[in-house]
Amino acid sequence: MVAAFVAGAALAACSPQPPLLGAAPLPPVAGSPAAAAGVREVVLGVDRLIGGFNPHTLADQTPISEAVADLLLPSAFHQGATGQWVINRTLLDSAAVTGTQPFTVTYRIRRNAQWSDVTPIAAEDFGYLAEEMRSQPGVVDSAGYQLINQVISRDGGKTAEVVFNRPYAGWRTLFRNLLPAHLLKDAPGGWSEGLDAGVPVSGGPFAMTSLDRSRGELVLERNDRYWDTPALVDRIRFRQGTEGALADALRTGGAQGALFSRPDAITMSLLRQAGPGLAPVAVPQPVLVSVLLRTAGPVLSDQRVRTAVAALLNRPSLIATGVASGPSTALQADSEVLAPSTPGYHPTAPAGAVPVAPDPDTARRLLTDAGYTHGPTGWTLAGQPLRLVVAAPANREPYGTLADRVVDQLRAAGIDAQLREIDPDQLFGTALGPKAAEASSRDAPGEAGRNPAVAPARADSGIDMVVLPQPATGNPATQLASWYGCPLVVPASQAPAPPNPAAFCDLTLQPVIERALTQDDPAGPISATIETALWQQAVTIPLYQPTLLLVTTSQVAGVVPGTPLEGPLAAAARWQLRR
Amino acid sequence: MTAPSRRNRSLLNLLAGLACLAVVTTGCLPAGGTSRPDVGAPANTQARGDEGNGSYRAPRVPPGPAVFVAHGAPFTGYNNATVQMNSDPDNDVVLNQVLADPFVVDGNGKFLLNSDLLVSAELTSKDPQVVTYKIKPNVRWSDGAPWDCSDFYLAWLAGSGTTTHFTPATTRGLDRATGECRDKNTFVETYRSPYADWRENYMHHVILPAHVLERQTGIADVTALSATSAPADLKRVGDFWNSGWNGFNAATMPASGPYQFDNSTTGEQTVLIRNTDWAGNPGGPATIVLKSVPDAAAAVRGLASRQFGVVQLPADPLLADRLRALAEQGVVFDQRGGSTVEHLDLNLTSQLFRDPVVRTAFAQCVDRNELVDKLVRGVRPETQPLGSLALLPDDARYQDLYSSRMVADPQQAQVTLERAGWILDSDGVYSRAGQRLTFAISHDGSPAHSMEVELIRKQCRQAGMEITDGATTDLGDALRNGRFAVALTTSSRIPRVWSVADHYATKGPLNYQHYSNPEVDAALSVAETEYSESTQMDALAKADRALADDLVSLPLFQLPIMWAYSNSIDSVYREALSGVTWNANEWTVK
Repeated sequence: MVAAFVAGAALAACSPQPPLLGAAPLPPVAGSPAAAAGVREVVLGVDRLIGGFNPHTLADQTPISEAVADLLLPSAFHQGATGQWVINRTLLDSAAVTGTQPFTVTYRIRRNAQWSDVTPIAAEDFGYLAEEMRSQPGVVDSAGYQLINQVISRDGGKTAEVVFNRPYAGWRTLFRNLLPAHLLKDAPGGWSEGLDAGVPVSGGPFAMTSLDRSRGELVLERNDRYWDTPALVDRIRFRQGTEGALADALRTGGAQGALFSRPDAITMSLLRQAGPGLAPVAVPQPVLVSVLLRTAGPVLSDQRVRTAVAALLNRPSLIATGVASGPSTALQADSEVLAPSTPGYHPTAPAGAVPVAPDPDTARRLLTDAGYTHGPTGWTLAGQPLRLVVAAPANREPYGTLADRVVDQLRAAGIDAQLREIDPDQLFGTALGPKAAEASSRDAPGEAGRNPAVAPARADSGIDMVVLPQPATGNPATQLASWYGCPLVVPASQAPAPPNPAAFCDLTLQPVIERALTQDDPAGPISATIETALWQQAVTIPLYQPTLLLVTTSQVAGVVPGTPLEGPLAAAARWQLRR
Repeated sequence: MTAPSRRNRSLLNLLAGLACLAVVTTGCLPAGGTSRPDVGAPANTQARGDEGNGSYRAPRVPPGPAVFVAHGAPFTGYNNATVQMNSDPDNDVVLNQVLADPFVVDGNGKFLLNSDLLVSAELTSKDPQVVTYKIKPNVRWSDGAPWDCSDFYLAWLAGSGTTTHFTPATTRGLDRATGECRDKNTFVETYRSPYADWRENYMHHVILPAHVLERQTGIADVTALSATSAPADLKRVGDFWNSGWNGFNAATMPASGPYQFDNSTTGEQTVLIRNTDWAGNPGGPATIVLKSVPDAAAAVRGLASRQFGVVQLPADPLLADRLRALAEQGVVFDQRGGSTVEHLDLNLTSQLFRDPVVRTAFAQCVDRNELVDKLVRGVRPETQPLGSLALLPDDARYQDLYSSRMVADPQQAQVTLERAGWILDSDGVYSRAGQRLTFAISHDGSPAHSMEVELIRKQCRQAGMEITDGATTDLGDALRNGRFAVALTTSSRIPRVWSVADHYATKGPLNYQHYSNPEVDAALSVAETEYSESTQMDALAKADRALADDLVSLPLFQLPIMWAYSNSIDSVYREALSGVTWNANEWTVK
């Protein structure tokens, strides 16, 4: 089926298609063939059409993936504007805790809920998602799934009984964006690559019918198999173009809306020049842009060195580069766990101290304490340079740029830093996961044998730091455990879960982290003590929460962007075209 | 030597023509303009007098009636090689048939020995390089005086920079050689260093009547003059050479080519009649009347009404459309890529553009396709952004070196800048360490260039660059004095090596960008001195690649040239530098 979809996309690429935004002026929609044929089509400009569409992987955390996920992939609960979780009655008849020994949640799926290929949406989809989230590296908020013991299918698959090892206070956040297990579970690379070429079936109001990256076009059509209220527009056509082309298209009526994935001061200026009548709404994304200092390698496993490196970074400059005077300027991330847009967020960053402000003196002291000396070639330990590899997902700006800046800052401070931009699937799926450690262990003796001068063999992928998206708008306790927690202890029948991307595990913090995960603390799951400890650990240096900008013209009515988790197009099924 | 080259002057004139483009912007094709095939028989690029052995003889042509040619500005001077005239193309179009060159260059740029006048013109020694011109006996000017070695000698003396009393537009080539007359019909050049483009030295109407100059100045024998002659004598001949042939005076302007001036010539109209002293076969048209018609639209109307048989016009999309529409009235419209290219020159001494990151980002944000769409494709639909600083798209060795560098992607430009530490300010302009990414693009103020700069300004504004319009009334002065960050300029790619060396060799006379790359210097040195064309082209291609790597100038596009003629003439072709009349003697007119 995946192959069939890909073939369909390829066919679409061969047939005459409207041009990319920017290749030529777009005709006003009223005069378009679609309009002439009575098709209610909304053209949405996008500045980047990159990445896959699995919203659960760090590799696919792109604005476009996030934007379309909720239109195609059904969720058990939705997040409301104030952060509360509300059952999705379109998918479920009920969802409730039905047992405490063991902790059990039962989901009753609506009889008529089905994928667009007529396969019922079933407990199998719950089980597939739970299993992959528990076992795959580089996923978003895996801790809740690590608590699941099993998913039992009942009632012909229309009831999913989810049995947990331990109670899970944030259970309502589970099973967002179900994936079609019947297509992915047996496909090679199904989890990480099965949705790279598009989403083959839909359980939402729209279905993806065409993805042509060479032409920069993605088409969502109304899902005729959708069992709930049908979408009011027939088609949403995403067309890629430069920001200038997008602004022109909005002005001339060539597009009815646009998604700017990294709006900056130039974007805002272009939109002002595009004239009145445009409604820009900044939608914070569900992640933070963060610098991760991994504890997996021999260098940064030493907290003193991590803190020294953090003290050498010019965080304000990194933030200024990343936000580029755009809407994210107001969303500086000063909490280790919560995004600025999250209810209950408050800054916890140590004022004026590392890593909020650079502190070369502290860095020098800590590195000296750790045994390093500073000479004409920079910092060395036993004659070997202090060498750090800084990685970023390739083709996912601004991560690469910020990693580049980190490298420059470290080099200026005498550290031999190197940049590696790595394919996102490989970076999050392999290089930061347990397989990398295995591979490095195998390779290291040979490498050391070739050159006795090399540093001691590393039991990891060699990546010391990463600039990456850090999930930050879901369940706080889940985020805390997923990003900073040790792999949870699971029954002997289950394989241990992969480590977090930093390979960080602090046994003194772990009880607090697990308690927050399993108990619904009215005071909030993230204590000031935890935050303080995390800042001191210098494992993650959050920078800011990125935003995307949804701009619509007066031709579109009913535009209500969702929460960061729901995405900017959450209400697209209720959009209407004004003639 | 800091005077602009003769090629540059031609380009400025062409540019003046391009200025019309801006006026008719609304007539431009939309993006991705539709193909509009040109109408009429393919023009003949070959000289009919090509003997097939590297030489040219004026062919026998049936005598025909007069041909009226419309061109832009009035004829202003017989000596078109002075810094003042600077190879004015409106003079060239008149002089093509009046002043003979040692070689005839056909529409493909092929050099053919003018064997109606010369026995030979050869490289007779390589070390040292010696070139010998042997003139046929009894070749005469139209006033009966011999066309002989003294005329070559005068051209060398005036153009070599040997004395400062002459003010030629350029000394390139001649400045490497010493000229002497071995006898009345043998002129010999001995070079101080090898020079592969020696055939260029006496082209473009620089062989002028020494006997006229002698008569007018009282100098008995110009061949006796040298740098050590009495300054007063040199001044006299220099003064006359510099300005004595300005305007029109039939008595001092005899012909050495197939046609000569008729006394009925006026300021607005030059009348050429057959030169009865011409050694070769007589030209076809009985007379050639070249009329200055500054209003190009009037020239088109004149062609439609058969007032004119040939029109040489500035490249203009609206005029091109009008001419295409006249096909059924027997008008043949034609166009081609010219020898002139436009480029953005970056001043490497400026604080901004000495930084390769800024050069890279600027290159990435300029959308050349939009420029070509709006400025060029209306005339020449097949034009693509230019991919070379050394070669033209028609050259066999042409390679597009810039599409991968000039990606027209402002977001990529932003990434380039941000990775180098530039931070976007709230006004949407990048800055770094207190320096803002703001600069002007200097240009000559023509409407077309103003439009180009405005397009580039908008394109790169999306990349966080603040660009201002640096129009100036004296671009040359701004360039010479380094008062620019980026300059929108034009230059000719004929001759190729000259052009590149002038602009990009460390000591190039037009290297106002202060570019210096030993690799380029070495390659250009080989290109200038290597006689083998393939080796010369290899070296030029190497220099071209190094220039692209350094992003010193950003090529934009090749300017088109266009012309039209009545189908009562068999074939008219516009040679890139000389214009439509380069082979007017060969025209067969019904």
